[in-house]
Amino acid sequence: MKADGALGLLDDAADAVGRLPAWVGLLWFTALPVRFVLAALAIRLVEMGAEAVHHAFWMRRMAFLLLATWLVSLWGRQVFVQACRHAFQSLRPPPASLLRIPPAAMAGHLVAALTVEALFWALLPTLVAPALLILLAPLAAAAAPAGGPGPVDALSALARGIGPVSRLLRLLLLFALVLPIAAVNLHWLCAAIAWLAAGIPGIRIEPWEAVLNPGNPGYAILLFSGALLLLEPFWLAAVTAHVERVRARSTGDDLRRWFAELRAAS
Amino acid sequence: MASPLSESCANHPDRRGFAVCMSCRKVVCQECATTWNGVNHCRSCLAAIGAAAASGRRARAWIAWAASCGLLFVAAGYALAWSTALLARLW
Repeated sequence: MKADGALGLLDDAADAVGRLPAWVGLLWFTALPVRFVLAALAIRLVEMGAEAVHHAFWMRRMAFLLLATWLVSLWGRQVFVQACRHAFQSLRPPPASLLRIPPAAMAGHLVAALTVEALFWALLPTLVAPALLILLAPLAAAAAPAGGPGPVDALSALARGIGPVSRLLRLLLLFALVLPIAAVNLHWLCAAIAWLAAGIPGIRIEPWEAVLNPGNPGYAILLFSGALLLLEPFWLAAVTAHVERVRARSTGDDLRRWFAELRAAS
Repeated sequence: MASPLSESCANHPDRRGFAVCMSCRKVVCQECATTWNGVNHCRSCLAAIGAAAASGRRARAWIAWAASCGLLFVAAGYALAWSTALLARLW
């Protein structure tokens, strides 16, 4: 049997993500618009500062645009979660039929994710509660669809998927440690591309040096968004592995699998 | 009305009647009769009642889903605009 801790989840996630390149591409493709709009909103907010409260109409328009693009990303997340679940159970590539999500499952995901999203933004100024709500967003994709469209059923399914909280918190800590490393690597990649471009005659990189500076808030926000996008498949896959283990423990599937392994070995 | 005991089951002619289904009024045997909410029903009528109840539950779940999603979407939009503007002011 595989390790049961947060590192075991990461192993499973890395294995699944490595076998699902096309599905990772789909996840990134659907997540790109929301990440881009979020980065654009953050850059504009940094520029406006205290003046932001005087632009209520623009803020609301951006907020609803962000939520509309986020709805698109939910479909990509749900498809990716289904592909991960398939990858955990089989070495075969996932079938294209996984692109068709059952309406009840998608509805359960949507209502649970909207609840988490509304709480996240309402509690954002507290800075602590959002950190915990970050954990619930992938759980809404991995666990809530089992509850169906009823809001109470979907949220109950999400609650059942939480399982051992300490393992989830350790996973969150691991990703919090990896996020700055991913951002630094992205920065080095950008710097390397600029350095290589400097060797091409006719290209001046001096204007870009000021832009590709981590001290530039806009660039720093884009780096952070890029790092989030890079880690998203691993984060979703790890939480899906966690939910699958919780489900297997509650249904006895883990014991059945263990007995099958023992029987095959003897 | 004659007692169901004097007639045979609508599904099993060789068996003696035990109860009358309150939905379709057929006489049914002990095996075919089910008491639900204190009322006797035959198997097929009980299945139809169950399907209607499940369909009603599904419809209610979808209505609750649509209302919740609409409310949560608007709440999330306003919360996003309000909290990000507040954070930008504190920055």
